Amino acid sequence: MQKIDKSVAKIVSTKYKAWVGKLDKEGKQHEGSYRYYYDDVAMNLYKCQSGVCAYTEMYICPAEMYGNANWVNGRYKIPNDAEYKRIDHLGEMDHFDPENKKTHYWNWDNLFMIEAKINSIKSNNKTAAFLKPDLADYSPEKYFDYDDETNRYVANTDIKDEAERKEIQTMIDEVLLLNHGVVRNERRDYIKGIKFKIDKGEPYTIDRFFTAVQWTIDGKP
Amino acid sequence: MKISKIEIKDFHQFKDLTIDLTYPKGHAKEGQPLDKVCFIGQSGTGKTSLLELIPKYAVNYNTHLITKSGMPSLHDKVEVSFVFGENNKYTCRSTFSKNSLNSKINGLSNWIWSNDDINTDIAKSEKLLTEAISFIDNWQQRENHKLIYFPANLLYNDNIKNDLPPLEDSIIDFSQQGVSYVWDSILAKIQLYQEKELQIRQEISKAIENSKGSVVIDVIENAAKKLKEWKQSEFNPIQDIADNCLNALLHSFKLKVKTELDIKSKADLGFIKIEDKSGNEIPHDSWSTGTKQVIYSAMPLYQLKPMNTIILFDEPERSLYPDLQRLIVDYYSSLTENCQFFYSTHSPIIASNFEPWEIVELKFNEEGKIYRELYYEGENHVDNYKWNPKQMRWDDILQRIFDMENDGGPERKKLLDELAETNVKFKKLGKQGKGDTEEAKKLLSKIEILSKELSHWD
Repeated sequence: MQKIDKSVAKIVSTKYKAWVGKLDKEGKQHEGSYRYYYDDVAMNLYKCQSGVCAYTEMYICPAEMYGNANWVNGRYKIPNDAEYKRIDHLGEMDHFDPENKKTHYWNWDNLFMIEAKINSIKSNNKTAAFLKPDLADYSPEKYFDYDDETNRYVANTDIKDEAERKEIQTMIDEVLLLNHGVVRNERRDYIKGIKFKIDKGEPYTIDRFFTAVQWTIDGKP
Repeated sequence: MKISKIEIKDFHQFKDLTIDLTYPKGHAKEGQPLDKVCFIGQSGTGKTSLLELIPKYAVNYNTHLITKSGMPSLHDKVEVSFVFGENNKYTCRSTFSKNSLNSKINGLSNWIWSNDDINTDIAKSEKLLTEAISFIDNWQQRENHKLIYFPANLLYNDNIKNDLPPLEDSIIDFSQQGVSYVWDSILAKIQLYQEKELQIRQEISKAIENSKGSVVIDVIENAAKKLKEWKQSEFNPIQDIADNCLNALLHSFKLKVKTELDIKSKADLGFIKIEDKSGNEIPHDSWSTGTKQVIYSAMPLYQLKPMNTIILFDEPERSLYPDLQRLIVDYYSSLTENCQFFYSTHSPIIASNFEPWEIVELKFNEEGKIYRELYYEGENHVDNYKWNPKQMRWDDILQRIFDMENDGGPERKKLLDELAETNVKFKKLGKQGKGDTEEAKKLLSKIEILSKELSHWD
């Protein structure tokens, strides 16, 4: 959904980066069952995604879990006395291109953290390539509109090509699950809470549903 | 007897699955086995399989699943933990091991006790288990301690007589025998009561016939008094069934148990009759499937008054209207004492009767194996549960727990998408200063029509 910066400079799990780089250089396949770097990858992805689901922007990981202090010598290591344990997040790893995971399971470019229930419904449905949130020319404005009356995303109505609009709508409804009942209700309630604080002149921070909040409050850019 | 944990290494679609069935931290019963458990999950996730594993590990009874799968499939694959006795004093784990002497010789399970005083080699058999538990409360020797299994396809066997189960069975399995099994004793009691009443009425009739003149009034008064006294002193099984079992539920069908004696033929003697609120009798062969479901599942619990045992219900919602589904879980519990209930259901209304820790939601993972979706975040503490079906709206239960993606059918979703798209188009025109154009007016008209159409159902 939101644009995600996953450029190389953002990889703080350098041990993982070196390991996967070596595998690729030697032309070796990635073993999905080898989980040694799972936390390194997952937490680094959360850092890039600001702790929200890459598609629905639901809040799935507390910021404390992916703070810089949790990386030591290029490895993710959360202290034993930390408030959160390593499993205290609600996401699962999504392979954007399901085909790619057969040979390159740990391919950084293909990975995103998404809400676990959304992942189970999405299953192996393939997302349209142009909606990959870390593409250089991707922006949510280009493809989506948000209606704050019904709390639903629709394909950008400025897109002239009806087939493209239809494809985006299918992605919204069936793959990215942006209009899933639970997602929609949580988004509606969250925006309502932010609006209430604004009306009362109270301070607020936005830690989820970034796109819909911004478009509803400030208008779509 | 209650189950505190089920661990499955590899059996059918289950692999490395552990189901903790105890109350979470912060609960008044923290660490004790749950009083009731609700298995939910889409078809094929093994809800019924879990129900059918329980009798095997509890009392070495072969349900249909075990007969079909064969014993080798269980060897060293499943372990079920139990607690027994007052204050859950006794705990043990039940397994079937390929290399066990007991298993080799007679197919018995291993019982590994946590209590030193009975954890001997000999103790690892049902025989000692029976003796040990008999010492506690004579379990298995009493009918009301038998495990009870209500399958989804309850056998509505209307052939009421001669359907007794083998006496040695340690379970009452309604997938193998008609529900009529428990009816015999109930009907016998009813018949005895009705025969006595008929006898008294016959005596009254004869006395009146043989009396003359002013004596007739005295005879009638005495006879009426005798009948009244007899009714007051004699336990009336029909009235008890009406008051303490069926009327609470039949009320939802606008029906009640007929308690007045009304014998028109031989078939009317010794039977439970149902009538509507106007007193019109509903013949037995005209009972609706829902009425039968309620009566045939409630009566065994009423009759047997189960104690300290396990009761299994597969799809209890069958044929029941939602308002009745809302009642039956608490209702069945009210007919028992200190029993552990296991339900398997597809009904959000049944699920709404359970605390979040009592729900075991089974799901497929990417490899097609089953896992339990946890409803808590972090530590298993009552404060960390994110959902509580008892406090949620029906639509919220459907969406959050039963994973219904939308709040309505495909037609509603299509209209909502259309409305959202039209709203966006209209607002965009407004921003461009074209809010008064023909195009904008058309969009506004469409918004009004769609909103009106959808608002009927909001």
